[in-house]
Amino acid sequence: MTGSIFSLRTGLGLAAACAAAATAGSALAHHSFAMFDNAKSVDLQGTVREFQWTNPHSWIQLTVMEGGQSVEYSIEGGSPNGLARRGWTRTSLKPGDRVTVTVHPLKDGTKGGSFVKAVMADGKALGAG
Amino acid sequence: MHTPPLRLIGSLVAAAAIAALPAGSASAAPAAKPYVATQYKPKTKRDFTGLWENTQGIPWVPREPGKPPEPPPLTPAYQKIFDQRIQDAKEGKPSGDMTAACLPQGMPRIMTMTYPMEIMQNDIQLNIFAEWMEQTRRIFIDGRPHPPADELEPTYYGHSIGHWEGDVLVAETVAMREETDLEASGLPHSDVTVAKERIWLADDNTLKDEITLVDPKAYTHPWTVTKIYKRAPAGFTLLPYVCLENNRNPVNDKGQIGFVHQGGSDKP
Repeated sequence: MTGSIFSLRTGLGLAAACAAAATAGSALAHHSFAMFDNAKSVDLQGTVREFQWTNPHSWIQLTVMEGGQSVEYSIEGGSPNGLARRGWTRTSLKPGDRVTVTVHPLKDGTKGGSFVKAVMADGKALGAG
Repeated sequence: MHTPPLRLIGSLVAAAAIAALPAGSASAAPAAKPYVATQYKPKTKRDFTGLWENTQGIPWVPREPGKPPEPPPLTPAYQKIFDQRIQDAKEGKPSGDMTAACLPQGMPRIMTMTYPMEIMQNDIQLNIFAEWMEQTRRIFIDGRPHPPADELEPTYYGHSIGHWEGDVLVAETVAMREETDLEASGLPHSDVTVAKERIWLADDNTLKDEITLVDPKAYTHPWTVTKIYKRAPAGFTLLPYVCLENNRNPVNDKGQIGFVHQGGSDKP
């Protein structure tokens, strides 16, 4: 890679900052993540409908087949600022990509969660920023 | 391809003009050298220009691994406010964190630099641009005083003035809005806070900011922490951060952070 406008080497200092921030709970998120069940991880196998490369958070709209029905999940990820410095780009996920996304699900049962990691069909992994 | 005659004539005129220039001045441009990014090198010990990354995470007090965080010396009244905010946060209510509503961190929390900052300075002022929320803080270094108290409007960044003591920039900030805080936890300050800073280059690539909060309403004694920033590598640049671009976590009518689901039924 990369088509991004800065060097990936720049990620190292930030990775350390992320690690430090992670201990503070909400990492580099701009708000508390109390709405998610952070003790629970769920794997969602589906197809990307849309990847929103936006602030304050990125979002993966993932279509998942559940009991013969197509269901959409909203998966909240880090900001592009953090993700880009971890090697992500706005095309890291593209509509139609088959992907398994691990999330901390919403406590209230809404079809969504916070992003933990994604594994592409070719086995390539994307970690959180 | 069809070329409009006028443009063709223009090109011929330009070519003739180049041909008419004295020999040498119109020679072919030298072969372009590949671009090599460079890190900014300070011109003097008082030059804080450049891109800086916070090395210590987002808490107000840098927390050392394996050690409990230093308890903030809050007065009983402000300890109560802080305790309430921590309880609210557990219930998903960001009562002590304005950034949840896409409002800026303001001063002094801006100096925790969740994302990197850029400093530009001249003889009149030193500007600090924070990537997070695209904030700008200005420290005036041209000798001006603070405005008279009755003209001071509390703002997100307050009013900052500074002067040099040796190669240390000694800055003082007043009139910071009370509802800004020190960190995401909601660690408060009061409306009378004065932030006294000593900012200096420890070496070409290390900037330190010793911040003392003098706030007799909220803190039992002046409270000092030191922030350490490292110069970002060559080629680094700040990125945009427009918080309202796609905020799908608006604060709802219960004061809790919401979650805007897209794509149909939001309940199982």
